[in-house]
Amino acid sequence: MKKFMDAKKPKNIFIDGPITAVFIAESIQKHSTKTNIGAHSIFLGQVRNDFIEGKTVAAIEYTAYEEMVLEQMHKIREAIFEKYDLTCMHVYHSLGIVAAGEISLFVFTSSQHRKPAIDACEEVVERIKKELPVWGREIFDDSTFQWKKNS
Amino acid sequence: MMKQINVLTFGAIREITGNKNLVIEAVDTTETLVKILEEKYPMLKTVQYAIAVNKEVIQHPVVLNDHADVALLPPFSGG
Repeated sequence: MKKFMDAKKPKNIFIDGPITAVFIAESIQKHSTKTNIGAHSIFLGQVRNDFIEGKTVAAIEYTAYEEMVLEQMHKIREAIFEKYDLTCMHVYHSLGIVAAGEISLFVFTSSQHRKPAIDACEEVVERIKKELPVWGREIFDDSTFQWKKNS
Repeated sequence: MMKQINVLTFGAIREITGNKNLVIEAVDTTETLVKILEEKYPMLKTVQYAIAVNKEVIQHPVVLNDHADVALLPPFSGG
């Protein structure tokens, strides 16, 4: 645990626009040097083309209370490392416009064995949805919009 | 010197306040602040939001210090 405690400054998690497949692939590749890892768990949130009252969601525009997000995410990170035996964990969330079919959330946990990686990944995703002050504005194909409600 | 409270608005709430943050003077608690804001923007009474003081969500009214950041947070929809 101690080795993570010296992470004094909350890590930035924001990416402007969509999270690309290349970014995700490179992120996986970087872990090949950490040979004590035996399992990765990855969650990717993709913008869905919901059909609402005759209109289709074309994109979501994300805004956030950025400073609060980083503080809360730092707390989540510490709690997760306390609870699960993880080697590392990475979280990225989009800001700005992400089109339907593109990735807006990337959660990546790694461990020696699969169970902690999978369980930690799931818990982080749930906590992100519930606790981080981020808002999505659904933009429809006719350019109208509505504020998204998480299910 | 009067206390100055910074009110930060987000999401649907930000549209109610005309796309801006606010500075409210001479308020001592979140309770009074909400009253003032609801008088100024009656639409606030019709929407759901949580309140964060200096980036921590509060469950009960609290006393505000000078230059406190009070954020009005509509339901989160990230991810």
